Amino acid sequence: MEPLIRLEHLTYTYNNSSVPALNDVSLTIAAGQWIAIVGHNGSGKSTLAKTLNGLIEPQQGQVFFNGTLLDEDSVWAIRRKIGVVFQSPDNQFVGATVADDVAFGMENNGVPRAEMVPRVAAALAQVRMSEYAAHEPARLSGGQKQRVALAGVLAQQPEVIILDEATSMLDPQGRQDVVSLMTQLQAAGNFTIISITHDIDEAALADQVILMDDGRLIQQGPPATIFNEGALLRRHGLTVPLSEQVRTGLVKQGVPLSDQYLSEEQLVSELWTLHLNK
Amino acid sequence: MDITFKQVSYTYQANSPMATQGLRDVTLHFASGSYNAIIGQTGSGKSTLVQHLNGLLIPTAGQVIVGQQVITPLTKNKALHDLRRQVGLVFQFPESQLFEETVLKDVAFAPKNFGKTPAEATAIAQQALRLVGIGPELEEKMPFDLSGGQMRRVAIAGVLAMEPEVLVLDEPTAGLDPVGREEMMRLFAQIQRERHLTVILVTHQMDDVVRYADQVVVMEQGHPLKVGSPREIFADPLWLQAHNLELPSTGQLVARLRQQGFKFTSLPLTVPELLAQLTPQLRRVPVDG
Amino acid sequence: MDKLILGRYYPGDSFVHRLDPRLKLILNILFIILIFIAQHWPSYLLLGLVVIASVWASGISLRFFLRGLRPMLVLIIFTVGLQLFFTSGQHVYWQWGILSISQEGLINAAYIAVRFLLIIFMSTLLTLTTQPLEIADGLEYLMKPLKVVKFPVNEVALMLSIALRFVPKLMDETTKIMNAQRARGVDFNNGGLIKRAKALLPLLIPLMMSSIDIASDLTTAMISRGYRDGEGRSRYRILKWRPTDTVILAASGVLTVGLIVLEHFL
Repeated sequence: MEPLIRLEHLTYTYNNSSVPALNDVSLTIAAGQWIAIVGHNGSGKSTLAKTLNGLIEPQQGQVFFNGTLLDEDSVWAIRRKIGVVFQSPDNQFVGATVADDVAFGMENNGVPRAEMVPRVAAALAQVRMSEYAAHEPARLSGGQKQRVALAGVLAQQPEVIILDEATSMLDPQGRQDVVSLMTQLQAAGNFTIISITHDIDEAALADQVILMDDGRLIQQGPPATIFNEGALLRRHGLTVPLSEQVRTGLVKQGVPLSDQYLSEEQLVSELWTLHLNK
Repeated sequence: MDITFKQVSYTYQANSPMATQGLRDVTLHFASGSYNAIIGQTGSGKSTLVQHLNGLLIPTAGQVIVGQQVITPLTKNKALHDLRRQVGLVFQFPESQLFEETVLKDVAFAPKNFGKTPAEATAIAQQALRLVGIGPELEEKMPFDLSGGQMRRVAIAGVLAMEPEVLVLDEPTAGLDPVGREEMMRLFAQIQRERHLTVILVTHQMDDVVRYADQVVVMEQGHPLKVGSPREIFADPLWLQAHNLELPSTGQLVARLRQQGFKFTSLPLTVPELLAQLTPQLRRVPVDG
Repeated sequence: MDKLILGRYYPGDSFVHRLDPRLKLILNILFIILIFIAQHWPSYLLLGLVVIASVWASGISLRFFLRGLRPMLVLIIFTVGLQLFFTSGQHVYWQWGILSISQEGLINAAYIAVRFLLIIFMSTLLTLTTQPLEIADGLEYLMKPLKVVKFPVNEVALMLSIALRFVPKLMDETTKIMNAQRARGVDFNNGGLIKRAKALLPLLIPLMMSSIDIASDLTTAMISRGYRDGEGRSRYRILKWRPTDTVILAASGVLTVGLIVLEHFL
């Protein structure tokens, strides 16, 4: 079966740079999955995301969306299917009020007003921002602005939602709100989520983790496989999840835990078994 | 340099219908050479508090005493020039303050403003740049041509070049990746040790609070709610939850373990502490080798 | 900064607040025309009554209108002064070189002052009771005929509304950068003209860089959300013309005719 997104040998070098930001990257993403692209700042993860909806055009290689080659003719149709929430809560807020901003994408695609009104209302309800519909952005918190940006994406009924470091500028409360919202959306809808992040705890929520460094794809696999290799994560500028630090620490002291990465939940339950069998 | 707040209050746009309270009856002490963390939700008055330390804001009531200098509601702007040099303030996303043609000139900007000769200022700037890990090869570059992380370091060097005795850091690692964050925090700790600085860190990163702070101030609605060592502050998870504050990451795992039935005598704040309390409660097999 | 005309909206739900922004824009233009048609005191009295009634209907205290007057004060005094001292006439009360105060000068100056006052009150009423965004919407609508001559009405309107949307953000940014530079020893308030102008550089350059960043981020976000150009877009925000608006428009028509008749007989 054709994957939702297929990247073939992408290479891209920014104008003012001598080293490629993307270096021969090939990968596929299946529909309905939650993908985390991780890597330190400057590893090429955001550049990779920008190739997916044609914001940058790789010098070499091709992007396929649902089997269609992304080119000048197909790019606008593909953009309609990919919604992006960017890093800066302020700088992506186009509308003068919350409702206006949610409608912006639909306006661009010429959606009739009669259809827009209920879609704006529904999207705002989904992100729990209905009561703020008439508010101006200046009076919202960072987390609220990102939820509005997410509503703008949802209102366009996309197939893919890209979160380009969407939580990195938020306080813990705001980050928590956005992450829990994403978890709910993923469970309820049939979206493919691509989250670009250097927060390892956020990456742990994904089905697949793609590790990037120096513009190259280092490894792709389920979190358990990637997080199992603490040294690998550290070598590429990331931290090791706490549950993994605890697991390896306990194993060293002779506690017979699984030799696989465990989420906090799994860790606690394995530990309890070991406690009861003491 | 000792810092004392005596019943300080601050009202934004005082004497106008839009007046809002920024600080309410703040009495605090930061000991000379100590590392202090200020935590609290967004809008709790953390940034307002630190802007009193170098007179960017003048209290509407009460006194701020920094070293020998006493700032009262009547203090005039002109009297603050000396204080500004002694208290270095690194704002959130400090890279947005860069403006000179070259990295070196930008770092030399503050020492020149505080009366150093151009030659002295340049020497101090070079020293500050080395301290934050920026090599001579970048000195003549435009600040805007550097990477985000480098720009952040240059901006911080620009504050260190004032040779302050107090260093105020307002979420200095926001937006950095984990390794960048760790390096930056280690750098501040090293500078604090070497230069015997009083550090005041505003942060949401509870793990950093545990690792570095001697004293923690919890702010809520412009008022210090609780002051104490990290251990005292994080001892009561329910209290933290009630005030919308996070636990350090180990604390969150401990909460889960407690819920499951594990016993902890005190709250472990680091991984080794957690392991020490957890291992005796588990079945073990002899380790080979 | 709060003296900026853009930030002067006074939130409320009065009769005037609820009028269609297009109507308020049209009436403001009409009012200016009427002011220049009016040549006699009775006409001014009539227009003055209209202003007083409108201000009263807005439910906003007079204080805010007077505050709106302040930035214009220099211009008013200057113009009134010109009329007062440079109008030559038969009844001269005082003379010094080319400067003189005559009866005609006094009368002209009084007329000018009243005209200024009435126009400023009316336009202040517009900005106090209409959100900037509504004004932008109203302008877009009224500029529609310009599309015939290929004027990019939609783009200009979007630009205007985005500019308005970023005013608070840029004001925050300005405060932040000023604080950062003050912490580095810049003094924005003292020193001579040259010193102060020099102190602006560390403010203006970062502000420009951050505006460029905002613009570039915003462009990326807008393209991602499918923005190409003004054509083929639908509109979420619409203006609603209500029966009250028609009534007010009709009443203004009657007033206009009345004023012209009055002027004819005086």
